[in-house]
Amino acid sequence: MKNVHIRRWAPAAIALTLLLVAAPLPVYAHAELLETVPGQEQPVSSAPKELRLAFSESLELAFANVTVTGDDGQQIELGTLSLAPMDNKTVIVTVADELPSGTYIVEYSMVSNDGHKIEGSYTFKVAP
Amino acid sequence: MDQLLYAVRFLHYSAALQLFGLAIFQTWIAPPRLQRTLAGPLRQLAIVAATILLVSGVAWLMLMAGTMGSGWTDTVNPVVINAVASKTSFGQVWLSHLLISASLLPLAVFGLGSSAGWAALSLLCAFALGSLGLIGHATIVDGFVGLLNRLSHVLHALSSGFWLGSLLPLLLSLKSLSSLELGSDANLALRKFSGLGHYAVAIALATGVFNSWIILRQAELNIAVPYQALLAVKVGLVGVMLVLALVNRYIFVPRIPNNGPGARLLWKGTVAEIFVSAAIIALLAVLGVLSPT
Repeated sequence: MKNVHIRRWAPAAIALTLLLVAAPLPVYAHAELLETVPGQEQPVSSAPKELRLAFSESLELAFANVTVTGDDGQQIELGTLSLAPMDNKTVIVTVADELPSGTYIVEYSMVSNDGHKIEGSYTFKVAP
Repeated sequence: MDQLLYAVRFLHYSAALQLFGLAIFQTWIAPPRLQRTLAGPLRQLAIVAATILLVSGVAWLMLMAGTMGSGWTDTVNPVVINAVASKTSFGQVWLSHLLISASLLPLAVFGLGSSAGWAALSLLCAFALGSLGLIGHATIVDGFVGLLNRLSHVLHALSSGFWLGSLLPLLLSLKSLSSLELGSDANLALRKFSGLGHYAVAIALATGVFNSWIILRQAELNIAVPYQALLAVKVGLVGVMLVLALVNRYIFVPRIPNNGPGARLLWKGTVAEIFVSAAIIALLAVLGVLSPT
């Protein structure tokens, strides 16, 4: 009787194990910033109309905050903040002003779905 | 704020595990005569646990508002608390969880006069405890694997609740082992508990390994990371629990008949298990807040 049970369940168990081992899962820390548009290395030639911040985990839009500060210490006026369609790990924030040449500091504060808060900053350059 | 959150989580998990365990013990494990004897003390325990569950559940929500928002002031800011409750995935689970938790207190106070009341308590506690498997690290994976991960966390919570939460009612019924009137009932309860206990322990271990594996699967293992160090301690303590459970079951229980020393030894072994489980819950309370890597 026992053997019959084992034989019946074994293929399912093996398939499940293989599926889990093969599934491409990222490393889980608390969410971290993976990628930004504009990028942090190369200056962009035209003023960006929006910023994209891609994180390693799904985010809570209600607790997402982004500020952008220019060279002169003035905060840039930002438009709406939203999650990318079909990708709740990426935040999109529109930029209301036409950004002149210069270096900008982006400060962010996010809460991931598991309830953890992450804060940080990065810079990008506009150089037409 | 983190320290307070650890404390609140410890109280909340302890209360949920204890309530579920005692309700299951009273509903499924204890035979009728023993049930009547245990009803008084277990009802009092249920009232205390349900109160702690509700108060710590509300405190947890307020602390999450502080964590997600901007610190202590937001723990009492209704706008932020409302945003956490209505606009986050934690909040969606937590509202239902709190609603169930709130129903447990009046049930414990007014509704435990019949076996139907205890059965209802078991069912509601299963939802209250199970829903704790739908927040925090259980949610870090999406898709099908994410669903399995949540299911595994729910099973882990329920099987651990059966194991850990039954220890106190078991301790209470051990007193009846030598009683002429209740001895056979207590014996039967003991055998039922250890029979089902084997499954609960197996499920708790398997799901625990699975959950840890999902979280640490591709991480660089490093014992200097607090999460991983504490997880290693937790695994060690679970090992101690397992040894205690096996010693209780296979060395002490067989020595109970004919007024042997087994009953006294089993009492000590069960008390030891309760202490170790408190330490495990304390670790769990901290682990859920820490970053795994």
